[in-house]
Amino acid sequence: MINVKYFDFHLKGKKPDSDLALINEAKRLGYHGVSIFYSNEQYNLALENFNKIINDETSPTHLKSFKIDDFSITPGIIIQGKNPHHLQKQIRSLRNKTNILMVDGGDLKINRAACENVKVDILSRPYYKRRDCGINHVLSREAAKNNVAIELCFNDLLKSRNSLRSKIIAHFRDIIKLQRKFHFPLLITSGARTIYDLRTPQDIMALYRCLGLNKEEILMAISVSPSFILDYNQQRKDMVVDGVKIIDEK
Amino acid sequence: MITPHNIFQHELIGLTVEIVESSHQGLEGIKGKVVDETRNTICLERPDGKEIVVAKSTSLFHFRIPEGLVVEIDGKVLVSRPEDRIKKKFRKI
Repeated sequence: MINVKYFDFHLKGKKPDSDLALINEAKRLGYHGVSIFYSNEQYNLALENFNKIINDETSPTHLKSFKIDDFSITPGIIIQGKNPHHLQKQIRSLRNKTNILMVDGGDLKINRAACENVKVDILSRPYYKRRDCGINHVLSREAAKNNVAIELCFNDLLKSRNSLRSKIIAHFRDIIKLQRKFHFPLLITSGARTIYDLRTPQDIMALYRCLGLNKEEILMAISVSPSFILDYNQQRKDMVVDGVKIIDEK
Repeated sequence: MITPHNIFQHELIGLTVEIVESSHQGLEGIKGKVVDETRNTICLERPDGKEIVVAKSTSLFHFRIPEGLVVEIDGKVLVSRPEDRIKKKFRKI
């Protein structure tokens, strides 16, 4: 039997204590790794806290994943762009500061700027506060070309009720339909702020099967795509352009 | 001067290369010196003196540059005539 590694790629970081509780709960529920996101202002403080908690003194670099046993914790930065120009400026300044860069979507222009930028890893919730799913065939093609993953956030379903929940489900279905045609990376995440927002990987898989994803697609979204993003970003510093990599020094 | 930052635009003839991956499994692991290049192929001279022609687009190469560094290049990046490659734009990541 193949050992599948489950990742929760969007935990919302707040305070050191609650973050640690969130991470421990994710570990208890059976995840093999999490990524916890902070705003640019909170990121340095969060890294210092992680260093203290894990007692790792060899960490002057920002590009770092922390490990507790086999459980990986990858801090990332979430960008909330005011407009495409502001977003691009933020991406340029923050790309070398962190391993994972996520853009908070919702506005169509922001969604487009994120999908067209090869330096972005994840576009979070493109459907947020919208009447449509936030991406179309053009953005899907760009996302596939630039390897920008589109996130489906479980917390949006959990925290909504009645008609709003049904609309979010309809947006998820639209994104899934586009993913099947254009093959951009899809991510299923919890978007948890507290330990009560977390669910086991099996529960998440069962839910998304109800929304129309099959088993392979869910495994791609919860296991393969996150691993790929982590591996790719580990190699990013050695890459000169897409397809050219420095591998050895002798 | 050839560096990892300009090798994909540079002249390849004379460099030592190893084929790491290829759709033709028989070519994998072959080392040699680049002696000729066309738009879609590279001609290698193996240590025994035999020359082989390898398709660029289906292979992954390890080029050793004179500094001693080894650079991995996806053959798809190299597909174009050497004289055209110098003015081609590449996506920085």
